[in-house]
Amino acid sequence: MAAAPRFAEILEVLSRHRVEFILVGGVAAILEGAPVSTLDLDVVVQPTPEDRERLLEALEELHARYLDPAGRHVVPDAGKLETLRIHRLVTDFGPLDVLDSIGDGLTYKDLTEETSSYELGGMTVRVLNLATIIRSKEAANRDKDRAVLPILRRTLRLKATPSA
Amino acid sequence: MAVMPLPSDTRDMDPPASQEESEAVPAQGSPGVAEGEDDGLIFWMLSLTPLQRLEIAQGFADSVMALRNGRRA
Repeated sequence: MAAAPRFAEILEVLSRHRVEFILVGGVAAILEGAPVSTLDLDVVVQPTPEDRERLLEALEELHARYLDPAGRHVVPDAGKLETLRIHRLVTDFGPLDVLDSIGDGLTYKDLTEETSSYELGGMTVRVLNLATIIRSKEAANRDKDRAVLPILRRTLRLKATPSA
Repeated sequence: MAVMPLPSDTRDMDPPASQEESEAVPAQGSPGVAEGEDDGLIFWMLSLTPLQRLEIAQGFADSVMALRNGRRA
């Protein structure tokens, strides 16, 4: 049985290991105020050797392994973190997607200026802003992205109103 | 990602029960309502702190997992 998602716990481990990451995807959209739901935590990471080392330590603490329909137990290592662009992982605290980029190839460096920092129970988390989340989902253009775009766009419009 | 129904364990953060309780909620017939979108729920989400929003996300995930595991949320 898959572990139940524990978003705060995963964020805490990443933060404690000083992993430089940007929270993207559904949890980011919720933190930006959109009433959507998700079971996954998605992060874009900075691809420097030092960051990969810290990320690997965090993933080891989380007992991360690759999501594998065949049930094989494959864990991340330095080589995989350097060569693979998408890491769909399961951890003791639920699913975690570690990404090099989103949308049309937007990397950590591209996204840095498109974030807000949120205080979440003693940790500061960099969160992708809603407008960029929308752009990335428009670029991805999968069924599940198109399904939530209306509510994301509506949230963005209402955030801009004085009463919001 | 899906549009979020209200989690069951967020009673202390309940959204306004009626439009009269929140001036921020637009009247019926507004463009948002006509499109089937819930402006009241969005305004309520925007009224929360980021930590509260994270708790909402967690509450919904807990509810889904409880349903998957055959228990009541």
